[in-house]
Amino acid sequence: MEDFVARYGFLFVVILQQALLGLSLYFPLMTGQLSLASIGFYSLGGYVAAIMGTHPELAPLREALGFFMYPLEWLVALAASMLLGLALGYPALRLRGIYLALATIAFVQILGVVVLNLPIAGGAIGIFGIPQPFEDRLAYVWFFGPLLALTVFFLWRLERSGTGRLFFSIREDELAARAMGVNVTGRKVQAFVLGCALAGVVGAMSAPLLNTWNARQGTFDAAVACLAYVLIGGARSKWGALLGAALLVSLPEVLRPLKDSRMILNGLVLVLACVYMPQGIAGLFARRKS
Amino acid sequence: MSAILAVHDLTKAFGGLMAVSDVSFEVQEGEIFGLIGPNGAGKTTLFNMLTGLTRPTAGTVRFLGQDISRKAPAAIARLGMARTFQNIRLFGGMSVLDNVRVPRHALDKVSLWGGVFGTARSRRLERETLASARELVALVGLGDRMDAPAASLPYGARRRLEIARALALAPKILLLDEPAAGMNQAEKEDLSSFIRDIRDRFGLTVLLIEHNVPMVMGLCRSVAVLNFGQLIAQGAPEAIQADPAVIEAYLGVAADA
Repeated sequence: MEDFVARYGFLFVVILQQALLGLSLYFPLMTGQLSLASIGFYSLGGYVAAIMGTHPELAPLREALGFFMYPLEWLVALAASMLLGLALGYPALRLRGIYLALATIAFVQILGVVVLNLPIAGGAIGIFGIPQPFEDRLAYVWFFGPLLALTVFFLWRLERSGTGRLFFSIREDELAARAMGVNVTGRKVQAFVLGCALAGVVGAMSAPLLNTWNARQGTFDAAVACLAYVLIGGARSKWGALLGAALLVSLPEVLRPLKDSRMILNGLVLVLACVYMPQGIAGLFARRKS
Repeated sequence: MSAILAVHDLTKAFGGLMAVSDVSFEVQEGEIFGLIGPNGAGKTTLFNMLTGLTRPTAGTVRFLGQDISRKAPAAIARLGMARTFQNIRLFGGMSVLDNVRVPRHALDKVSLWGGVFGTARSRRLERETLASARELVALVGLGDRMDAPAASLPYGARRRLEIARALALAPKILLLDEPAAGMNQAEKEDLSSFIRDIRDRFGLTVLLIEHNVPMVMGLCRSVAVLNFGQLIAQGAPEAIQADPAVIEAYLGVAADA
């Protein structure tokens, strides 16, 4: 058992973290909007935590707050992500489908260039020596676990509320939703900002875990990985993002005994999943139920 | 009686094509107004302009005294104009009940945080919405299919659900785009009496696009006829039936069928 925990415990932490990023894509998807901006907000949240954790001028604040510095970092990352999300959401959500995806990817790229050139973000080297609240990396379960539980609970309540139904009506038929009085743009922005806020907090929690933070945290590759979680898991259910992240994060590790050929099998699983499960893993369960 | 809807010189050009050209008419409060015309006459384009989905090239639409011709569709809907679609546009993956709940939630402008945290106001709104949605679903005869996905319903039931969803907006005027399409004679008669019933029950004004001429003649107090985007006749059903321009454009063909 101890062996198992030592070997796969950290993997479990990463699955929780990536599942949260997958869920941050699910929020805009509730209104039918595919946004890849999450990874940018993840990067932003990480920088907020990294700067607050290392900046010399904040040393007295860190001493005074002790452990509570971390929740404060999350809150600041949350507020920053929501503000930037609002500013980005109103113009970006006028676009639809693949154009929104492209615009959000462009945002991620621009943000990457900006942080590379901001002195406070440490340029290409980034920020290192970020203080860590736990000695054992496994203990980060106490960050990501409750956040995941909270997010799933939030989504569970949201999907059963009037706002959730308005979100889904836009996903089902945007034009009909407009004709039925739904403030489509406003609701899309709401869903988008929720996703941005979640990604920002996940970033703020991840900076201490990784100990360093740099522009490589918010790349196109990472954005595509998040997209793959939702695609493989299923875009129409919150469980899709969870299942997809669990599968895609653990697959390369589970296949490790296969050595070099494991990435081939990994890729094969992705292709087959796209072909045979267009609704994702969660879609298979939904079909069985009905 | 006063005009609830006044359309003045309404025009829509798609490039060089005049889909609707200088159309003017008034709909009186409480009446059932028929809009007829051959395929491609511009009836649906006219509906889309009234509901804000298509922006007019020129002209005005006054609804309840205000000019709505440049307003957004959602704002027009919340003012009290509800519609159905010729090719039925339900929220297919959502349940019958949820389809009818959406317009109420939109009217209430439900709060995201209120819903998630279950505030007293949002719980009260949920209760009221649920009760009124159940009533409307039962009214259109789908009381035993409340939780079925809308897309799983048979054709006629989907048409009726779309009317229930429109009624959930508590509209002053209801726009029906070919509600009898694909129905047999008995179903058409049922639909006619249903439209009269809801008009009386909810104090509605109804604007109806219909191909079926006998149905329009039996149901409507006034009729407007569109052909190639132009209003060629307007008046009481009997007068319309005798109008030579109408007979040439439309009724002559339909009478043979």
